[in-house]
Amino acid sequence: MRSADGPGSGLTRQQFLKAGGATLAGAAALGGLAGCGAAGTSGGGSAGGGGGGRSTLVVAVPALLSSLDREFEVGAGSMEAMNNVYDAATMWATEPFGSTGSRVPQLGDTKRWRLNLIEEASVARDGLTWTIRFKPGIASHAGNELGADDFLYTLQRHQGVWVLGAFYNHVAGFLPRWRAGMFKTLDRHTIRVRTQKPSPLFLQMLENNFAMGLFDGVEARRHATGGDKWSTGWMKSNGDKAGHGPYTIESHKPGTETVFRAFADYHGGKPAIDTVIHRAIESSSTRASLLTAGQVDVVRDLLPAEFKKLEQTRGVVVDDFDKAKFLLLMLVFNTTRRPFDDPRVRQALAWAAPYDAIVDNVYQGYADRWNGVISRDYPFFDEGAWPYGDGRDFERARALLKQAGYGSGLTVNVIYNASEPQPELAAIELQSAFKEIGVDLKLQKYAAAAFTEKLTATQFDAAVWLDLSLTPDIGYCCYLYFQSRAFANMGKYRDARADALIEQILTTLDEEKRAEVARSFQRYVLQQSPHLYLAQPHYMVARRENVKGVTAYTSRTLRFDDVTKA
Amino acid sequence: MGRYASKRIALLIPQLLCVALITFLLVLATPGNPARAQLGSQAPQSAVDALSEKLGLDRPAYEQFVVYLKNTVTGDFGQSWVSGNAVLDDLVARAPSTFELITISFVIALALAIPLGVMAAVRSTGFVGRIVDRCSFGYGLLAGAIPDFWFALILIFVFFAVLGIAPSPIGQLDVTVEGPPSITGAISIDALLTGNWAAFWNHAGHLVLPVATLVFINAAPILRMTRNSVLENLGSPYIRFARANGLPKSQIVRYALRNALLPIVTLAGVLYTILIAGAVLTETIFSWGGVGQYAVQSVLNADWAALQSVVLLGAAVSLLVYLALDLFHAAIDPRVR
Repeated sequence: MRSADGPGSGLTRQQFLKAGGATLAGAAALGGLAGCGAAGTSGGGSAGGGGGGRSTLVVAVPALLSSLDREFEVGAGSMEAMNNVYDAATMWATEPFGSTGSRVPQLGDTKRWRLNLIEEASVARDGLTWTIRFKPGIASHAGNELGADDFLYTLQRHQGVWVLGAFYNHVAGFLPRWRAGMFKTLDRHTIRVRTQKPSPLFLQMLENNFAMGLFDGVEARRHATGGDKWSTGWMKSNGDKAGHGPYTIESHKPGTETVFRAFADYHGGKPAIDTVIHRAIESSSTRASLLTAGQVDVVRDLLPAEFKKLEQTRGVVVDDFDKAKFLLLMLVFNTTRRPFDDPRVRQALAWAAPYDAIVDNVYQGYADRWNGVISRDYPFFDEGAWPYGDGRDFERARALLKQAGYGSGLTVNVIYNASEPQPELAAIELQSAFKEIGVDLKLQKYAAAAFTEKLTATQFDAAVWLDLSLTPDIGYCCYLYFQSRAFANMGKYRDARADALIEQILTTLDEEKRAEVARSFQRYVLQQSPHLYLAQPHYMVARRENVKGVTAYTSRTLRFDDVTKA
Repeated sequence: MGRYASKRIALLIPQLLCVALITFLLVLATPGNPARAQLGSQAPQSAVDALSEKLGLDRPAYEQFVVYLKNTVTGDFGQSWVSGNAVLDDLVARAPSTFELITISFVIALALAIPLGVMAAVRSTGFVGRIVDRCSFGYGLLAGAIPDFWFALILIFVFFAVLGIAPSPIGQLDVTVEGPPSITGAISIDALLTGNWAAFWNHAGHLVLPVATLVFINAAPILRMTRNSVLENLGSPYIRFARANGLPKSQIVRYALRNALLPIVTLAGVLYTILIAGAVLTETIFSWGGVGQYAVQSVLNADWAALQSVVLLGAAVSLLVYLALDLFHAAIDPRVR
């Protein structure tokens, strides 16, 4: 009798060789198969780029849309989707940027702007009553004609949901929240709105798609439920169906791609590019490689070194929009506790900060010194208000710290977002410079969600934060970051004089008077230094050379209908 | 054997409960408020508080756990606030891609590592043997020391960016290739079932680099284990006896390999669970769109429902693999029972 492990019950030599050979052959075949696939696809990208011909634009993005509801703050992928499925009531006029076919907007110029959805917006002599007349014949993606009732729905939805709308309606002057008679439709295309006080900002906010853009109210109302009067559940994933912009969303695979299709009945005429694909590619180096290989048409959010390399790459154009600086890199101080409740400590750090090093080393020149409290490219920016010179004035900084009682130095915890490389590098530059004045920065890196939680709950000594304000108006920007009760006033800066000046800026219609108050505000707040105003990164876009028409909007999003592909 | 199997399967329930509890506590301890993440930095605190209440985040932890457990048992894994879908739908859509990737990698890793390990053991003496042995030793050290994400980036750089012979790391298919309709969710199988050869070949091309990454990193321990185990058996008395009886070398190797298989199979099981974890970074780098990439996005966005479910899925698969290993051991070694 043979044992179970005996030679007779096992594999014969031939069987063993056959099995081993078959396994190896299988592995080799799969490898070869894959190799064939590789060979078959390696040339997939056309020399022109994108691989989809002239009618398809492929944009590699770090993240896709997560929501189509403008009431909630969302990432860049969502903003770009929304800016293409919805239209703003007005749009800034644009002018060429260099000679590469790209364009920059004329921010704040309401005399030259394009009336997109409206025919007219006029204000009565009281400065409080605005009448807006919408163009007839604007079709939504659901096939309804848009008009005054839809704008009314948008404004009321802000009041009802009260998330981002709380901010928009507040700065626009729609206060208090449930004031009777604020909005009234006069006819199908005309609406009258009454602000509580004169509001110079209301007119400008018509250009802000997220604040005053229309929904198809008829379609949105159809999806309201007893517990969800404003259709927030439906809007998050289906908002494009209540849209009316140049593109609809044909498909969306979370984590993989979103496919946009040109809207045939778009009121501005069918766009040149028929299909736009947002492809999710998280790694910036991979996005750069894909552009180099011609497999995608447009990439953004790369590291400075990657842009530098692409500038030398044949067939690729890098748009360094140095006249479109919307991002703000700041060090926010928690002003509610020591040591930053003392303006002298904040000023000391402002004198010691290495502004040029951040521009040169962190951004490798793709940024400018900020030297202000609002973007350099926004109206009313006061170049002469900056009191801190070139920074790195350690003597003056040490003297201020000594006056504040910190002559022997201090330790500060600084938080920053791990998903953004530049804030970390900027924090390291600050750490190095502040050592000279005895300030020891302890750097703490947090994942995006944790960082947002700590930032909004003011659980930090100081935070490196990148942000932007969508509307290029001094009242909007100053309220956003410096008003005592504003949500984005992360450092809880509270100052009665600053609040009074903001109130004046928000309620003064006269341009000259407003400019004077704006100047006073900037000088005052820069002296107070509730933030360190570190740098303003340029808006950077890398594209294949056959892609033209990229425009630098304040939202840093592409309008696909601006773009053409040769 | 039947009794052992029943006992072992029954043990799964408390194990899964423990995993669910640990997962819940870990996620609870993770910084990041989902309500704040969902509403954004500029939402008023009143809105954040209202959403926290709606999501049940204001309740005590034990109450949240009971609700979570009840929902999980009934197949309700919650909703991902990032994708807007039910988490179960997201997992069903993404899991086949992940299992396709790791299963192919697993099979190839075994197919390469076991014969190479045997070869290294059999030829451990002489000049050629020393070269083979040192190469396998060096490879084992290298693969153990190199992070998978770094190796993946190097492969992309060399084969896509420099040589241009690999497809772009843009996901499972080129942008211009239309995928097959989803039947199983695994593109290779769906393409075969529907006869979509263009998608099949294109997908096979996209598999090369991620599979190469996972195979390179994970085949090394199997190779080392096979080599050591076969070598140990080749030096044992029963092999010496077989040699003394004049049995052919191939037959002796076969005996040694059979006895060496037990630890190799154990390690292979462990390897499969390691591949599940390894897929997280590999998927992210190759934009694979599977469960691993979903996990990374869930962590970054404080998408708790999605994160809990991914961890639970990974743990459940690992437990099932270990269960299969235990049953396999029990079947071939009665002492285990």
